[in-house]
Amino acid sequence: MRRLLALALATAALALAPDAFAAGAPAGTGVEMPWWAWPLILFVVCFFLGIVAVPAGVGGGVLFVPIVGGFFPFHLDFVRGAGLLVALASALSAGPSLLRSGFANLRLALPLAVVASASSIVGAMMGLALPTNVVQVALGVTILGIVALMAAAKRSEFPEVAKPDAISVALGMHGVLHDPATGRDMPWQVHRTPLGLGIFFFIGILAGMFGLGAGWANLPALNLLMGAPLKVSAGTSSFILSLVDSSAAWVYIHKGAVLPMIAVPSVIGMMLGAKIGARLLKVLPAATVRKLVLGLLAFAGVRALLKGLGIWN
Amino acid sequence: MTGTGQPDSDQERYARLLAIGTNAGLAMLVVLFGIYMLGVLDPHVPHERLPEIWHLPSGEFLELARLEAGWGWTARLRHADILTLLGIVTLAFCSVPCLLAVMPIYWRSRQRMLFAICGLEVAVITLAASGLLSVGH
Repeated sequence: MRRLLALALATAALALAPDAFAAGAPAGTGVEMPWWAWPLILFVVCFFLGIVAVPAGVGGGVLFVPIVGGFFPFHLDFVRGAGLLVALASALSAGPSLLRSGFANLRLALPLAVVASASSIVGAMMGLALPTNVVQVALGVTILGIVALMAAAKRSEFPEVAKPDAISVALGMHGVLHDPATGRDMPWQVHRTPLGLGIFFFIGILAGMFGLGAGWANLPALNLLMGAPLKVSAGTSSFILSLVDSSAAWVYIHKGAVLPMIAVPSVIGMMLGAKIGARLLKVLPAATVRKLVLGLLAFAGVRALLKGLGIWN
Repeated sequence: MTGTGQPDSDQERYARLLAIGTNAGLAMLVVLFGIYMLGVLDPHVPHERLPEIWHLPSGEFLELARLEAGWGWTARLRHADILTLLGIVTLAFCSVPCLLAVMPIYWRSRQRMLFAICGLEVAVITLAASGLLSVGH
């Protein structure tokens, strides 16, 4: 157990190490290292991020952008492009089993995904048009906000929804959750759909602008605001990401902000790590890992903020 | 989902196509990246030059690498780094066939609003994929 925790700590150390290597190079370009070292280090870091992301209950994309953006020599454009692909690939891979199990619900997801997809394009365009230091500062503030939200947010296994709203009824945003543990079928419905659509508009902008997977925001919006059961919220949140990140990814692809040398090792490393993380779910102390990851995320947020302000380059 | 715990036909159809598209995209990504890393095909930007330019904004990177924004990269698919983008765009587009496939289910079951929402989502992703919305620094 301690070894596994040490591995997680090594993730932080590895994330910091490349920057130390690059410190002597002009503008932190890392040119004094062989070209192949960077994708290799990136793969290793993403592999460990993938391992800790699962027990911490954090999406890979939200860890990837601030950590790689803060401590690797790549421009933030490429980091955000790769971050979107990391989140997209994870969401797409999980999609089929989530849909078949009913934990992701198409009727619940589609109206919210349309709004967030459209706004993620706006967010991506804004993110690529704004000066880099402005985006860095905004990223730092957003990451610190995410840490606060994740540390404070409560979850409700099966929220009570006394009366569904007219829009959710018209769109069929309800279902029956089959619990394999008890064998029971539990009907669910949602409310406050107009407010949910508004929240998802802003979530899409943040997802597109920073290349973050937005599960940290989707989940409380679906669960606490709209009243979907926790398992349905988690599954549907992941499924929504597969549509939202697709739209934003295209903007990054067309702007040349997706560099295969950065994006592909990140995607493969994160996905392999997540598979290991899922298997270690029973043996890893989830609460401790979560605290560790939130600490790492807070550190990366401060780094992004100070980098954007020109205090810590 | 129905009360029997079985997935509805729209979910099942979407899931089946999504699994095919995702697996194809990921397989392409791994194989084409292997070709790129092993130097089987020459890259458009030499490997050793990347650390000199990947710290630049994407607009400057494109300029220095003599690449065009939008769909211009498709003219250079003989280069391994550009070829790898095929795996990436497959992942970024694989939701569209799934959405198109569930639309007839919603039409037949008279769920016209869901039918329209699916069409709207297809339009949004297709608009983003068209490259018409790309902006510069």
